[in-house]
Amino acid sequence: MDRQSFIELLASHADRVFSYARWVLQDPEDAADVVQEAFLRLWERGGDLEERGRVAWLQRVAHNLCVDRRRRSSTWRRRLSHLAGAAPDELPVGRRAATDPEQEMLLNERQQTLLAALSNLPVGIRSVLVMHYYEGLKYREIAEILDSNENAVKARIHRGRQALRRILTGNGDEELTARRETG
Amino acid sequence: MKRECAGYLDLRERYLDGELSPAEFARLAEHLRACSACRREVEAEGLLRATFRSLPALSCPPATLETIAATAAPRTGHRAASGRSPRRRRRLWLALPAAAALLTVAVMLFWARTPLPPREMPVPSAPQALAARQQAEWSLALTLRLIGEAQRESVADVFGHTMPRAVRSSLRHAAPLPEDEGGRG
Amino acid sequence: MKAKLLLLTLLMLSLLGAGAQARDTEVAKLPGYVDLKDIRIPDDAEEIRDIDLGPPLLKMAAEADTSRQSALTRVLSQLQLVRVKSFVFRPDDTDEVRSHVRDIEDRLEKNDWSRLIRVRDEEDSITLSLKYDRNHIVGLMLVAFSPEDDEVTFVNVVGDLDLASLAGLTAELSGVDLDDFFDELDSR
Repeated sequence: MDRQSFIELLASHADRVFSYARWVLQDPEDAADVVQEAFLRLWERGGDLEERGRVAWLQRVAHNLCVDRRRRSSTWRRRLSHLAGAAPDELPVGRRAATDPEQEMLLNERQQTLLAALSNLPVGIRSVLVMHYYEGLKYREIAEILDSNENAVKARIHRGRQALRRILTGNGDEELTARRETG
Repeated sequence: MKRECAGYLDLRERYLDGELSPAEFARLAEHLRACSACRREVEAEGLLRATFRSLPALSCPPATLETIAATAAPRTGHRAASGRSPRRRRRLWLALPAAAALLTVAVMLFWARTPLPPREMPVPSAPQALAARQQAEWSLALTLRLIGEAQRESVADVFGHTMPRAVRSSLRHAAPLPEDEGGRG
Repeated sequence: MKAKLLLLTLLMLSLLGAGAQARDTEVAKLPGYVDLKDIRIPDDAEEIRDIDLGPPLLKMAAEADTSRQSALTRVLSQLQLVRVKSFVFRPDDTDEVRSHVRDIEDRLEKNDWSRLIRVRDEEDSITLSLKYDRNHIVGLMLVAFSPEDDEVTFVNVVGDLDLASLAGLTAELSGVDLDDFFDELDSR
């Protein structure tokens, strides 16, 4: 794969892949490793792919890496201590959005609740939920990424959504299941 | 779920994606007016989506970018052992052809990133917008504080909006104050 | 080897292309703009505040206020640029910083900026200059230089500025405790 195309893809998609992996795996180091490995594979194999298929391929690799990592890791029930504990109203001052994984990420209560619930789901489900809800990808697009079909994706997202809601209501967290502004 | 509601599942989904035609929207709205169960579902689903979308858009750590870029540099240094992702810090030191060039690459990558079309990228999140707002707030507060300090030392009231317009106009070309030596002294 | 590195760097430079540069060029053409790029922040400077809010970020900042009620929102929606460069330097760098301050003053004078306030106390000075376009203020430049405290601050605000509106911010921003911001940033 030629260097210019690779660097262009890196420039335009590294953040996105990192964000995706970060929310699925909920660990900044793991997410960085996924990004690194995914782009490494792209560099090696990207030349074999058609240009327009590279992004979907990259996302598929990222998805597979996330799934694989969860299986291998013995501490997959992610510690949320680095997410919790921040005052909801505090925001990074004088900075752009978090560029350093070690930098404390400040999330509000609702976001933390969602991530905690997400961490209880199987990683494959988490992945499609993040793709659909966070990245805004359509069923068709996710199906292409996963080399699956639209109905299967729809079903998986539906299962994930129901499971999320069950977890959230089970914890007594009505915030995400009923309309109530918690700020 | 009531049987009749099953027929509205697709409409609910597409409503939340903003894909309904006016006619479809009207149909769904009529149903939602009558069906509190579906209303609750739509609200809950909407909140879930909004919360997901509110998660901050993150930037890939520069160190990771540098490591990846080193892969694409002329001399790639050490490759990962098969099957495992190498710890990125070790790779950074081993694979560095020239620190300066890589730093340039990392910096260039940061600035070269052009925004993806909205469809592909999460919209600027609330935390980003609020961070920008705080920066702006801080900058303007600093500006006002400094102006205030200067005002205390000077005779002219910069914000003399109670001053007659003619006087205010004359401030535009006001000579420096007596205690100022003029020029750059 | 060197040639290849150079090639890579040039390749990177070429990627800068449209994006950020085009936006910067538009703002740079505005009469109220003052180029602060040449002001080098020394490597060992401290308490560095380097803020660069161009049109997209300012728009975001304005829209963060969903009620659109606040005076700050109204002011922000009229601005194209808020640029702050502020730092504490070592005494050894005083002369270099002073030359930047003088260079800015020269440029402002050459470009018909109006100096509204200049206060000097021994060596320290605060200068506020405004750029007018017909009857509108289109730029604000503030330079606060204190060799005594080894501090300097450059602020350039570009846009449709109304001093009365800015003054009106004082109340809204009075809750903004700058010292807290400094401490918070320094503790990270």
